[in-house]
Amino acid sequence: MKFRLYRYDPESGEKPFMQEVELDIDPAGKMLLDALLELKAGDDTLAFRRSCREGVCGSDAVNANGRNVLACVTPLSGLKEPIEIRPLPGLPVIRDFVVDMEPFYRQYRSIKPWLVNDEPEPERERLQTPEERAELEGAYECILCGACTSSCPSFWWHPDRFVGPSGLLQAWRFIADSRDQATEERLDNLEDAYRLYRCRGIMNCVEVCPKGLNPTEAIGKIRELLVKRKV
Amino acid sequence: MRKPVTGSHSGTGWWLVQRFSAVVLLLSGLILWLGYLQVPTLDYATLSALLQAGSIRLLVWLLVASLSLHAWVGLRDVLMDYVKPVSLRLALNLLVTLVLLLCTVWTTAILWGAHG
Repeated sequence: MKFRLYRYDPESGEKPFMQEVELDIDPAGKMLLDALLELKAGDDTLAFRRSCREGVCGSDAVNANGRNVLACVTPLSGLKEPIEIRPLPGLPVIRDFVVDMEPFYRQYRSIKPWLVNDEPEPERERLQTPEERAELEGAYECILCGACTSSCPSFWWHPDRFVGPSGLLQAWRFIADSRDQATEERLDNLEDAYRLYRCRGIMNCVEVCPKGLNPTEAIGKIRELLVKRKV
Repeated sequence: MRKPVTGSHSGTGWWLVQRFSAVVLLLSGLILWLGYLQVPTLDYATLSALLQAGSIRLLVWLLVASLSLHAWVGLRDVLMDYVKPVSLRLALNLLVTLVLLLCTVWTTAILWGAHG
C-alpha cells in the first residue's frame, strides 16, 4: 500500500516534507494504526502517539486523507491510496504526527470540567433519577482525542478565545448534570462574542467525532439556556 | 504571553439581533418580492405610486434596516475572524457601521422626505 507521510523533525533543522512510503500489508481486518506500527517498525524515527489501540484512550488522532480520525478504529481498507497522513490541523506540530495539545487542553480546563456542589457530601453518593442521568447521554462519552476541535475552522482562527466543540460539549455535560450547582457561572463563562458564539454551526465536529457525539447539538442547548436567561 | 481577553457579555444579544433581523429580512423581502411580481413595469411613476402607501414604505424601511443590522453582525464576525490587529479591526468596524447607518438614514430620508 502506498502512503504519503508528513514528516517533521525540529532537531534536523529541515522544513516539514511529505515522504512517500510503500508498505507490504494486507489491509483485510487491519486498522490504520496497524499500518502506522509497521511503518514505524521499518523506520523508527516516525513519531506518533498511541496507547489503548481500541478507540478508548483518544491518543492516536491523526488526519488521514484530509479527515481527522482515530487511527486505531479506522479500517485500512476504507482509505484511498496513496493514504496521506498528517498531524491534526490547527495545533502546533512537535514532531511528525505528534502535536502540542496544550491549546486544546487549556480550553478544556477553562470550562472547569468537574462537578461544583457546595452542599455537604452525603453519606454515600449524590443520587440522580434515571431521567436526570439520561441527560448526560451523549455528553459524557468524550475521550478528548481532539479530532473535532482541530477540524473546526473557528478554533483554527481563535484557539485562544473559542472554546471549541470538545470543550463546549464538556461544558454542556456539567451544565446538564443535576448534581452541579454552577450553571449560572458556567453560562457567564461562555457569554461573550468568542467563547461559544464563534461556532458557525458547520458541523465538522459532528462529522469527524470517532465516538459519534454531537457537539453542535450541545452548543445549541447551551445557547438555548443563554437566550432563555437573556429574554 | 499575550493574555486572551474575553468576556464582554454581549454574545447572546448580538446573536439574537442576527436571528431576529434574519426573520424580518425574510418576511419583508418575501412580501415585497411578491408585490413586485404583481407590477407589470417598474418605472418611476409606478414606484412612487406604490410608495404612497404607508405599509409599503414601512416594509421597505424594515427591509433596509434589518439588512443593515444583519450585515453589521455578519461583517463584525468576518472582521473578528480575519482581521487580527485591533486598531485596524476597530477602524473597519467603524467604517462598516457608518456605511450601514448612512444607508438606513438615507432610506428613511427617501421614503419620508420632502418630495415623498
